[in-house]
Amino acid sequence: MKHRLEEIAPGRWHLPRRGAMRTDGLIFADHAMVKELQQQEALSQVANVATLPGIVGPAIAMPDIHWGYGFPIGGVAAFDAQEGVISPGGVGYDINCGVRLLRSNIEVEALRPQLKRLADDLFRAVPSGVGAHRSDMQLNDKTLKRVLEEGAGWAIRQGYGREGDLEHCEAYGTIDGADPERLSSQALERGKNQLGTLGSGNHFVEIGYVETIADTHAGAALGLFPGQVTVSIHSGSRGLGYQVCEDALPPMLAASRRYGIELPDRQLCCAPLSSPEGKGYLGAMNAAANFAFANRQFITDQVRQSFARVFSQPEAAMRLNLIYDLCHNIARMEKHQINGVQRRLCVHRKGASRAYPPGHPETPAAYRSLGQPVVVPGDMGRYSYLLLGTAGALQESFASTCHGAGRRLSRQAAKRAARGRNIPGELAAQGIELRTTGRETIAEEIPEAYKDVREVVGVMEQAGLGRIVARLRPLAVIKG
Amino acid sequence: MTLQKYPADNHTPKPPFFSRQEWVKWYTDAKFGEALRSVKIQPTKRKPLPFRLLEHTADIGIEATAGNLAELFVACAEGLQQILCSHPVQSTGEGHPIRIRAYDSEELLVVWLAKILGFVTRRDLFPLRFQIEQIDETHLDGIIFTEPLTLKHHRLNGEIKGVTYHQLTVEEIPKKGWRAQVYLDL
Repeated sequence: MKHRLEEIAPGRWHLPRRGAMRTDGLIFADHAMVKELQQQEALSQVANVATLPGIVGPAIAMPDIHWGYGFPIGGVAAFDAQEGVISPGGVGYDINCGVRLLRSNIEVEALRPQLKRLADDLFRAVPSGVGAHRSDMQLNDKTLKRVLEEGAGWAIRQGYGREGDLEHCEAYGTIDGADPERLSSQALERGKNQLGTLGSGNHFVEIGYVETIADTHAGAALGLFPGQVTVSIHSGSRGLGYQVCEDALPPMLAASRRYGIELPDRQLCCAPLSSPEGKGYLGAMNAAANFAFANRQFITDQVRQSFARVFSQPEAAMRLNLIYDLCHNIARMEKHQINGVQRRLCVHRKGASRAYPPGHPETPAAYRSLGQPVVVPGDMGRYSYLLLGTAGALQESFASTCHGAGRRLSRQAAKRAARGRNIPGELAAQGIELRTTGRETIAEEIPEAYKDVREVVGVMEQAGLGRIVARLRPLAVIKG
Repeated sequence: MTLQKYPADNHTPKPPFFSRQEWVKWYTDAKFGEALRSVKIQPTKRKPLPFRLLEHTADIGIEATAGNLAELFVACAEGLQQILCSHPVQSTGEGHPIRIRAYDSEELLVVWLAKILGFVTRRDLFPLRFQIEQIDETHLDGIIFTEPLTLKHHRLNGEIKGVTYHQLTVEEIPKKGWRAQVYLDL
């Protein structure tokens, strides 16, 4: 279905309200992206989100938008705490799938001779691929529930990180209101041996380096310098999170019927935030989100140990410090100014990042004068970006910005494009080491399967929803 | 020495310039042409798959058609199986009885596929065959046959996070049978 979009400013498009939509759509994209969007279902999904009860402001899509299920990927929507709803389809199966970025004091030229060894060591240290689990760590019920309540904080208290790491995580690595009692026995069972595992698909650990710094003041404040080795970690809540979503959907469908909510797509099933069903899902989702924070914290510890082994130095000496960890798939209770009135909202970000501006009380103290860092991964062959949150994002998009490059090819189309090619060889020719358990994953994740993230962050900067600080280049990629 | 010149043979067809393969074809055709032409070789007909995979930017879909609801659910299950693993091992397997109740046939399909996926994700069992004993729009009794899952042996294609309700369809098409469409989150 072709949608009529009106360009209201460069990089900003208006999707007018029509039919059952309760509000307009607001799309951030350039002309080429809009042309591609008209060929797929994502705009219809923005319109579908706009029909949900209690939505506040427009249904928003970031430039990395693409066809998802329920919400589009790259979608943001806020719902009033009293009259609005919460929808598992606005969060997704991989609850708190997110990314974190570490910096080091190692220079790229010092790393290159050790790159293959480091890639091999990391590949062994971080279990990855379908069904990845840890045989060395089986959590019991009591411990798992503490993980679900305390998130990254629990991991750090067990020695898998530093206290300072928490100051550089969204929500300080622990979302309040987690209710482990809401999780089914199947969900708990799936989480017991998956803490500290990467998973498969687009999850990765990437060793990279700072290629360019666009904002020298901010770069220096973030401790960045050109040629500096960095590590990005992209993973989520693993099978535990998928199970929480699966378990939530049938009761949410029943709740939608009970509360008379008309659904344009069943995956948008939802319940009022004030209802027992809504509160139950929020508690379970927060618990899964905490599991994801702890998971990325464990992987961080494995990365630090791997560097220490390969460089034969204590990891503290290499200063692998966390710059920031943020969620991509989440519904967060937040306060926002709407027409001069502060309101409590449930902001759904499905493939989007929170991006608080300088001076905001929720911006971590370390970055209060800069704005909250936003890591925007690209693809495994090109580059990623580090952005900072802006006042524009707070005013226009509920303090949200893009989360990545966004897919442009379907997985099958990517496989066709990869057929007969030696993708690891192509990456090696660019100086990038690839380690993976799945050949299918390599084909699905070829660089051209994704939009050029430079164009995505370009739209964000043009629209005032992010400020580019630095561009990172990949050196080694570990994929599941 | 002079070369003996044979008289012209106007009865045997002249061989063209040929490769070895072409020669064999020409010879057999010349010698047994009539006999071979009288035998009609039937091209091997591959049984069409009861489903096709639907493209999706981030995920993947299954579209299946069948004569009745039971066959439709089995076809969707086979689609899920192929997404999990392109070359499943054939064995008898162990049967697990399944009983599902749902609001309607669409939700029944999601729960059915989620149950099958659950054998892989929660029990390390690979689904081999699917049997529907009894089905209507809100309930299903069936058997899922599985064997122990070994990642090296089954070479799973990738991780399926869940069976979604996005653009979910189960419909009866008059005089044609049944059609279903379902998307999986990868």
